[in-house]
Amino acid sequence: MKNSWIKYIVSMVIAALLLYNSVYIRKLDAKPAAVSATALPGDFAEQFWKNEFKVFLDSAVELTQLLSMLKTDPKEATTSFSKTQGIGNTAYFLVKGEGIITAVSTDDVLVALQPGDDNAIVKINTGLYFGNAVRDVTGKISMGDFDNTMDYNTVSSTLNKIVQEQVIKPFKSKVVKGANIQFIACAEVNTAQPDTGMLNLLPVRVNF
Amino acid sequence: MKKINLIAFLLILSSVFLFSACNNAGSEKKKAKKMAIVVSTLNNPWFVYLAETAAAKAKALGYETKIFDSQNNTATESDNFENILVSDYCAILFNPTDADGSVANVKKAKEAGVPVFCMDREINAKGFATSQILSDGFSGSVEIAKYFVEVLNKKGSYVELLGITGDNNTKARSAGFHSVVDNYPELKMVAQQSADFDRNKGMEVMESMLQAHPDIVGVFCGNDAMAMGAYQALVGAGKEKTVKVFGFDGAEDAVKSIKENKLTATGMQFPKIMAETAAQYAHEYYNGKRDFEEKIPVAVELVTAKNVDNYMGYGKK
Repeated sequence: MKNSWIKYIVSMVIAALLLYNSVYIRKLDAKPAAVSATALPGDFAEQFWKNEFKVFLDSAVELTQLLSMLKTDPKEATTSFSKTQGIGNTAYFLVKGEGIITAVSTDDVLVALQPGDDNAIVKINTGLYFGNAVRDVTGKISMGDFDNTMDYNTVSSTLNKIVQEQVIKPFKSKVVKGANIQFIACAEVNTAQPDTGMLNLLPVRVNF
Repeated sequence: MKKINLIAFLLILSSVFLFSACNNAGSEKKKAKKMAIVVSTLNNPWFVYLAETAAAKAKALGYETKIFDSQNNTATESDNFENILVSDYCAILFNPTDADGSVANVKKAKEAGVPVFCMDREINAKGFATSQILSDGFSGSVEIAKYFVEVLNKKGSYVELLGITGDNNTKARSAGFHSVVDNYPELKMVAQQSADFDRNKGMEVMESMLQAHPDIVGVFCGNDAMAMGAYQALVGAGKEKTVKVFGFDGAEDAVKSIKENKLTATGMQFPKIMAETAAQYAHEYYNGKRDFEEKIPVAVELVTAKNVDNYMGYGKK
């Protein structure tokens, strides 16, 4: 009888030990991107765009809400809606909005979110883009995911090329003054000077 | 008797369980409050500043410090690590000489239970350094290149002076620059050569480039020391007004030179932030923290004649 109790207790302790070492609890925001960073950086970027980024579009914040918050409480706006990488002053926001194209030039268009209000005009990029907004706006890709930072940089360049081909080129071909558009875009804000000048947006989805 | 055996057995199992739960943190022997600072070279004022700032921060946190110079040589770096690992240092604040060649040293330190915090330059491996606080050279060079395109009005011949071949910063800065400039077909790179991040070599290489390509309108240099050397060569050839020079680092003489309308632009790295963050992390490690982000990019800012008054050597005013 005593032996069976010993066996039972020993089994329970061993089971608890195994269970403890099988389960690791990590913060959800520490979860790495589902797409493997060990893939070639170009392939990684394509898979990320297809499988992760498009799902993330649903989380875009209303642009009018963000613009007003950047004026009244930029710190709160940054904390609530932006993603940053490492140490620096750049915060990336994913925003959505609707407006009328009021001017068209070679590398950008102006969009009036609320006609008649000068403060609600934004610039949407239609030229070449070289920053890290697409890579960094989700907060799901970090430098530490890669052995070599060149791979991390290649992911950014590849994502920019995808946006150029799949979003900017088709958008640019249809752009006309007076058109009404709905868009989702990345905004890059200098947190040291959050409310200076017109907001520049990189479109990631546009509908006419 | 059997009861005592059972209790003893359960106690042993519990100890195993607790030992495992502590994730070995409790089993580490507390080392002396001494930090080693290993830098790739003390021949460049930028790295002297990095090393001295790290040492000053560590001292302010209550640690003894010693600076080791690797003289841009992985063998010397390896000797430095051998000495450090037998001298009871609690952490190494490390500026690697070679992204691949320095991995073995970091590995050795990890095996000896000494955490390594990389500053500015990375090692090409994950899981060995406790944290790497790295200048985002690629993005910084993208900003410089955008300004380069604007200043040169999207056309003209130019040359590039590269840093030490094999160094990741050399690759990242060049790649960032070309990721922008190569999109403009009327901007033609007519020569590209390494000058090893060295001012004198920068001058020599520029002199020979000018002989072969007298019509260039721009020079992109992988660091400020080479940019200052290139500018000297241009002065010698009487071309300093027609050729625009772009550097990278934010060194004191380069910032001064931009103010005097000699250099056109540089990328301001923040060695103070990197050095102090590394020392702070090492201090937190000493006090028991273990979950550090493995790689942390530090932004690089574009410095031109328009905003130079906001900056000083190695940082912001």
